[in-house]
Amino acid sequence: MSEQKPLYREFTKGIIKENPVLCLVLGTCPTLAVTTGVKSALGMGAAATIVLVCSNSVISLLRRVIPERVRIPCYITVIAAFVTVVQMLVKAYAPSLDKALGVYLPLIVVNCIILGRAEMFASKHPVLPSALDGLGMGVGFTAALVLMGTIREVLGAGSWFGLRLPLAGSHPILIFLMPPGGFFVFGMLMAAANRLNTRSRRHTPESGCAACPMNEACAKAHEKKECT
Amino acid sequence: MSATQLLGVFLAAILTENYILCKFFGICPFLGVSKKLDTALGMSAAVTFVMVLATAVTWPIYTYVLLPNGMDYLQTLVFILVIAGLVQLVEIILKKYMHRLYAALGIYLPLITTNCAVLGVTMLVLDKGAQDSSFGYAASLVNAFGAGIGFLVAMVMFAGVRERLEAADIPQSLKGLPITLVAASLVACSFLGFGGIVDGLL
Amino acid sequence: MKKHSERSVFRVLSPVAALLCVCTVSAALLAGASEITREPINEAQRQTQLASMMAVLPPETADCEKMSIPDSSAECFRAVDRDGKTIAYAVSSSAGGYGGRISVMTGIGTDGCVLAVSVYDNSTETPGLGAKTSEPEFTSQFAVNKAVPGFCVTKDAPVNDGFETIDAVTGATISSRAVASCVTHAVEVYKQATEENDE
Repeated sequence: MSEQKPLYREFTKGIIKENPVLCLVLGTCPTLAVTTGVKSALGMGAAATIVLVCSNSVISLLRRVIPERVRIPCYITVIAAFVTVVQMLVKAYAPSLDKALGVYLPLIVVNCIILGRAEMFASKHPVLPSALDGLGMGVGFTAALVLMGTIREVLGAGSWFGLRLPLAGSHPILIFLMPPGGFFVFGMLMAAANRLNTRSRRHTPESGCAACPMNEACAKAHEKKECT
Repeated sequence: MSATQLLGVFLAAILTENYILCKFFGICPFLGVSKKLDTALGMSAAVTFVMVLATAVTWPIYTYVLLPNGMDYLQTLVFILVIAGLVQLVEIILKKYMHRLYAALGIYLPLITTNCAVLGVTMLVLDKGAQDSSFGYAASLVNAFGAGIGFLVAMVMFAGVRERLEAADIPQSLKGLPITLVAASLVACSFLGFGGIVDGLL
Repeated sequence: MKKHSERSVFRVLSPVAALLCVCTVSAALLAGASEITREPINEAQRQTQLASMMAVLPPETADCEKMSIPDSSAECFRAVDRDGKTIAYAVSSSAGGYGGRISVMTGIGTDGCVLAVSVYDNSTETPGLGAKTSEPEFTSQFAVNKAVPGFCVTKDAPVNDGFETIDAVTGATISSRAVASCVTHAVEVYKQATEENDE
């Protein structure tokens, strides 16, 4: 029975406490690039979630087989295979989404959330927790993307999910759809997350950069520690 | 493609299609490594180098091996492995024969494998080539080089902005990354002004 | 001693073999997936093109037939009604916009008048600015009831004599200009195609 509780926690932790985007600051590129609308944000989130669950499961299955020295190339290969499969499915069954995501769809391969979870979690845990961890992280990622997409689409285009809103629609603030708006909204959301975390005295996990090969040269990890 | 057109491709890659500020590629190093000017320079030099090299290798692989054999679905897989292998190879060669260069760029090289700017540029130049048949190998290389220089310009500019941020008095919850992102937003604003400038110049 | 060297050989080879296995399996998986999705992908592309063609062609259109034209950067289709009579032409063309290529489908009547214009791919344009070029407020300007040599935005009117002028989307001159040049190109392609067929 003691196994039961942590198992469900593997799923929920990714959504708020260790939200990959707002708390661990991973996967920033797609977060900024595809959140000009809720539709593309949701599509990107779903695609990344599928890849996360599949790659986490397979890597967890193979964790005893893959030799230590070539593990990163192996992970990348597995991830790239799943990303390409998802890309083909999107092309076949949701061509407009493929157009909206463009090159960011194949770039899920280098999304550090996926490689990060493979290295930090899936390579050390059995299949079921790994799949749940992937699902939780994916849902957390999607939630953050949809939140960003909502703010940017409502303010910048005066619509939500393509539907024109009555009040905001008359004078949209275009800059929210453009790159500067992306950076700004992301900064504000992170400030809000910081504020909530300090207020509830919740333990903020260290930056998820631990798995990132950039850890040594990167100031982001140190900065995160300083401010919390 | 004529020399003027190549110049246009180069300038467009730096100004109007800036990889960091307009396309959001390579945000991780942009936020992480831009705190000091020297690390920003080292990282950008390494990225530029790998971008050109990766494009030089993946372009022929895609055009002459994958595409004629109907295996273009292997693009992502092959490209990421080629880039990873290439980075390893460059690291080994630099370590053995060019110590000074290795000392300057060495620590940044392994970081680049999973940098979406490098994979992004190799894929985007192929997209451009598919849409416009005059966009060949030379233009692709020039575009990759321009993208690297654009990366450098954004990094160096931002390193300057961040040095100022150090001294500023910032509200508690904005400290660290949030204020950095707001600053990035303002820098990105300045790049909006370059829209259409390349077509106007040439 | 021998055992030791055997072990080191194994140590070198096993990672290589593992990586090779993973790569082979992945590639095989992808080949299978590509085989399965190839038909749906082609079908989806056909549907998108068909939908954009139907948007610019008269409702009586029963069938479309691709025409061979010397210009490789555009495609021209002849639309026929139920009796097999040519009623209109649809030309797809593209031009460089602000963020990338813009693709436009232009419907042209047998008299050379532009019937309707549909911007079916402007996904690389700025949302809210360049992306507005696909909205009817902008595209309906091209449906003028006379044969014209081409179109240009009001700003470029002095250098394009005889062209029909259209109002650019506010703040998106480059995207609007690209759409106008697509339609101009389509008119030229139409002329080429019909002249060749007359001969």
